[in-house]
Amino acid sequence: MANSKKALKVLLTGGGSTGHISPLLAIAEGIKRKVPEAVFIFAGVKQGMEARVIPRTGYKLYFAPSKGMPGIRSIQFLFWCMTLFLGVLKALGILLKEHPAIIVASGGFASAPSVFAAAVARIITLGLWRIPVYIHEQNAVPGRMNLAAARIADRIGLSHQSASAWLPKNKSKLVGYPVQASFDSVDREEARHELGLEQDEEYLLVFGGSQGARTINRAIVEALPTLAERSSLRIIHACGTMTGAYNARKDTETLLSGLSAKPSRYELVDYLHNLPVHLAAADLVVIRAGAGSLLEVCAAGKPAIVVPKANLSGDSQVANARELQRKQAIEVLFEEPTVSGHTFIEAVSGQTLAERILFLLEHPDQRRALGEKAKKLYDPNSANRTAEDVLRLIGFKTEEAVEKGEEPGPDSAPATKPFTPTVLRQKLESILGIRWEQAFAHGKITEEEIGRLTAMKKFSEITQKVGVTSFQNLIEAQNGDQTLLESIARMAVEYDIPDVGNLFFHAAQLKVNGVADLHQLVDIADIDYLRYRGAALLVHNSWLLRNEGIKLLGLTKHEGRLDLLVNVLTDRTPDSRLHRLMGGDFQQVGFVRRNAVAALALIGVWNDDVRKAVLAAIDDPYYEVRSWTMKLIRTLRENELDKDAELVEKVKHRTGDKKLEVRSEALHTYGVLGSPVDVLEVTKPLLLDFRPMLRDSILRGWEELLVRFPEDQDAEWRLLLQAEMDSMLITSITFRPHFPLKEKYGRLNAFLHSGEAQ
Amino acid sequence: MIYLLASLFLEMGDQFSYFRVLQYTTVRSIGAVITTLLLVLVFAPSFIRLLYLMGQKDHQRDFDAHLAKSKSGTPTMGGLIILGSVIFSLLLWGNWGNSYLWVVTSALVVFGIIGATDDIAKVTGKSADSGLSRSAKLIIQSAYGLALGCFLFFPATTPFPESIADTIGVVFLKPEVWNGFDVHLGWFYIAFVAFVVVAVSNAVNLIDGLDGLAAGTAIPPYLVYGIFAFILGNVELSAYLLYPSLPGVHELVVFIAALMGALIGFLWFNGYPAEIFMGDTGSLSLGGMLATIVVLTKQEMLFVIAGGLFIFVNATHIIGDRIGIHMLGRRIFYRTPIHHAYEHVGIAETKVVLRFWIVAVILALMAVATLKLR
Repeated sequence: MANSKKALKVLLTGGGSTGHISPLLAIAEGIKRKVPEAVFIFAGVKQGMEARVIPRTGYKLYFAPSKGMPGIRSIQFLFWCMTLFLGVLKALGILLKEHPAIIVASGGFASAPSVFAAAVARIITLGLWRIPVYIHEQNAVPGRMNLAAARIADRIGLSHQSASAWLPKNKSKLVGYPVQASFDSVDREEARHELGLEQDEEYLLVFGGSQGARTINRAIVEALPTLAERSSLRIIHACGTMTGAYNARKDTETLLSGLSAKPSRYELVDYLHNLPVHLAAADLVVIRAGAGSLLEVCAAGKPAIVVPKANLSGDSQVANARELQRKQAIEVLFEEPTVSGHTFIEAVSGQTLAERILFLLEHPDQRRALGEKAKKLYDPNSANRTAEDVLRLIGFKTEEAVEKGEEPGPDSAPATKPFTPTVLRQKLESILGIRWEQAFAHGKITEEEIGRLTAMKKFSEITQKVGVTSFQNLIEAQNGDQTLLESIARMAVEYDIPDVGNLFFHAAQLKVNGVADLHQLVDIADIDYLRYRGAALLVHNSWLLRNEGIKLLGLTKHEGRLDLLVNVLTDRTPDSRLHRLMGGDFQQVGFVRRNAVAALALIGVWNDDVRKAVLAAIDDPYYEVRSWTMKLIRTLRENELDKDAELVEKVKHRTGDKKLEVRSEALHTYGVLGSPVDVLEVTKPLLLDFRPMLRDSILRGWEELLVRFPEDQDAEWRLLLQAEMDSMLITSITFRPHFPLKEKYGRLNAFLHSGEAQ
Repeated sequence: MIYLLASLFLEMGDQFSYFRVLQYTTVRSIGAVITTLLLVLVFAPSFIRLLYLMGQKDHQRDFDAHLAKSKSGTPTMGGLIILGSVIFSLLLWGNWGNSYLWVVTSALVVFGIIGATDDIAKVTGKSADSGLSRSAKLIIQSAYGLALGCFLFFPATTPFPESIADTIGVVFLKPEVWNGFDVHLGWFYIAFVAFVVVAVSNAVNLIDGLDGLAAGTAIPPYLVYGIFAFILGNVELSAYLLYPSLPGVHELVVFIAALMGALIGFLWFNGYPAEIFMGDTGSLSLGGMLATIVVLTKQEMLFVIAGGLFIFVNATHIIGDRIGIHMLGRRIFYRTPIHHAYEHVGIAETKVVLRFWIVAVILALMAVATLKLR
């Protein structure tokens, strides 16, 4: 087939959002540069952006029905299967009609029919009709479609090395993210002329992707009154084409109509067809942190304020944005959850956005610096490289490649998957030495423990500066390389880390805990990121992830967002009807509320907000929330809680709770709060109770009394206590196992390793 | 082997007629009990050492730290010695011409292999959560159940009398009462068998959580089914008690006897504080074998009584764990499996185990009582 006279026909497939379309167009450009006679056809879905974008390119456009995959258990799943089946049939028809030489897919559900049709064709003809499939993966964490298609694909081009952690290594190759040349090539003045901008006008482009971004749309509308002060400012706001639960256009228009003042030169549009021109003309851009948008901004060399979308798989937008932020190529505004009605939504405050915009407009030198740094990150060759990789697959060898003597073949540098929230939390637990289940036993997290995180982060910076990347390297260095050790020690002084030996110990610990690379510390030990991540997770639909968010907030001692925890405990939005039928209650499910109580204990702050949450939690319908709140009250006892009559009364009431566990915790806690006579009055009827758990708690409560009032040697309540103790049933049906052999073994083991631990 | 030798001697002439004794089910059962009991008692200590050296140490989930921590490191996979000794004893005492024996031995092998794979995965993964996935286990179990259902359903292979191959046993009702309603399940019988196999084998698997609990609570239901197998295999007894006779099913008595000996021997070492755990090798195969015996004796309904404890543990686990923890995000019981809930409220492990034993025995007595209560 190689170098046949027939024109090369390439089927491009992918779509839904422009994020999947523009890399395909860039690859097509790249192929066209090398094989000018190549013909392109495009297969997408009718409801996707390709229906609007592709006709302008002149490529032949086909539609094959497909949908995003719903949860496997939902009824929608059946419909989805049927749609996909029809789509594959239709795509088979397209393949039969057009006979493309290769399929280039960019992922997303829109590419599913064509890719699967190619697979079906292979199977039916027993491999006789075999259309090569090339997949380009744009993200650091592959989407579901590309994971599934990876088995079929003959070759996979990656934009990020880290994606190879999921994909077959022998097929994947890092090629970069192909960007259309037009983003790089349009001249600013021409573009401004084309758009009809005046000489002194400042052009602010607000663009949340082809679908639109709620956070950006709402924030910019909120910012408009402030921005109106600047008369030279022209704003074009592309709000996106999203319809459905959030209708981008409608929502934005409603918000706009409620504004008192807005800039005269503000324009609202759905979508920008000539984005390269707009980018070239812009003085400042507000965008999402999708890999494509960021690179397009880099290609155009524009200063940008980036609002990454939280909670994507692998937190990919946040990771993209943080990487560019570290290189000082962009400004980042992170989404934070705010309370809207009863639940959380992610948002950026319009005021903050307006301030950032005005600041950058006032400081052209800063804008220029951002733009220049961004431009440096742009790799103009990635489209060509990808195109070359595609052509190699079907045996087209371009002259340059022959000259260079490049061997076709994948490269597979090792890559590690980013941490899921659960893993992140577990690593954090191991650094802090706290297990969530024992949060109450640990009590308040101290500043010193949090300081350990900061030290770890500094340590990772140091090691990266001296060129150590893996723990293995570090440990080898520790055993031999004296100069390296000295430079680490010198830098430690510079970075104000008191004890370097301690750091090595922690590093060894982390290695044991399965952290492979030192650069992973950037996520594990960055307390600001962890706090942000914890808060952001609270807007997630899945309670499992909200639960992890709560744990992260607690473990990082995030005093700044106590309001979130308080809201979780007081939020009374009901759960779905089905769940309520089975015994559920609120949308913030029992475990989430319970863990919010534990997080409050780890944070250890007592104020009016917390008091409000605690009072709500004492009467919570879920028993574990009530019993954990009793424990929380004990950890916060220093705040003179026994003076709080309402609280004490509520705890007293709980000593009669219907749930044994709550009752027993309340009996203990009441010993911390109540007056001796009151406590003895409560315990008196329970002295002969048959349940050992209750009598155990009574004893613990009495113990607290004796500790609280050590001076009352001759007080009357002591006699009462003596009398109650005399009449108490002390048969026990429980005991703790005691294994003398294992204890001696443990002692010896600790003794043996004590040298190492210091 | 002994059965075979005895029949050889019997064929040789009348002077060997006392060898007939060795063909009696009762005598062979007693022989099987003694063999497995002695095997386990003698070989368990060295077997425990062997497991320890091979690194088959237990890793537990920490339900309550003080309860579980001190047990981690105990050798697991002790089920191997139960299964091994049973097979050895059956090779000696079993009548391998009987297809019932082959079927139940197949359950032993299949479920033993699933369990052992699971145990090894847990040990190499260093966590109680890294064994075979739930769905993998379910698929293999249902595959075995379907195969068993087909084997029992098709006339060519079924060991049952053909007319009742696709019926199920009904408790408390005389045949005269329910014969009017035809309880022939037809093709559904295959699915029903698969359901029973999956349900029963998982129920027993779940109860294995405290020292001596699974082994001790499994003995009474097995004995109940031993009694039923003995009666159903005997034409006169089954006729007297108005049960359909299943010729040959009495061979299961020998199997159950061998298993009882092994379990009692195992309890010797597994009693609190345990020196060895049976692991999934033991608990899954105990469940699988019991399920197969339930199906082979056609006493499926009886399991609701005889295995009531297992059903209780399983039902509470499904409600508490699947619905409560995973779906609703809250605990419905203090802990599941339910024996941990009793520990949670402050009852000592030994006491929980003892009380479960008592309940198992009471349920077994009730199950035996259904013989006459019809």
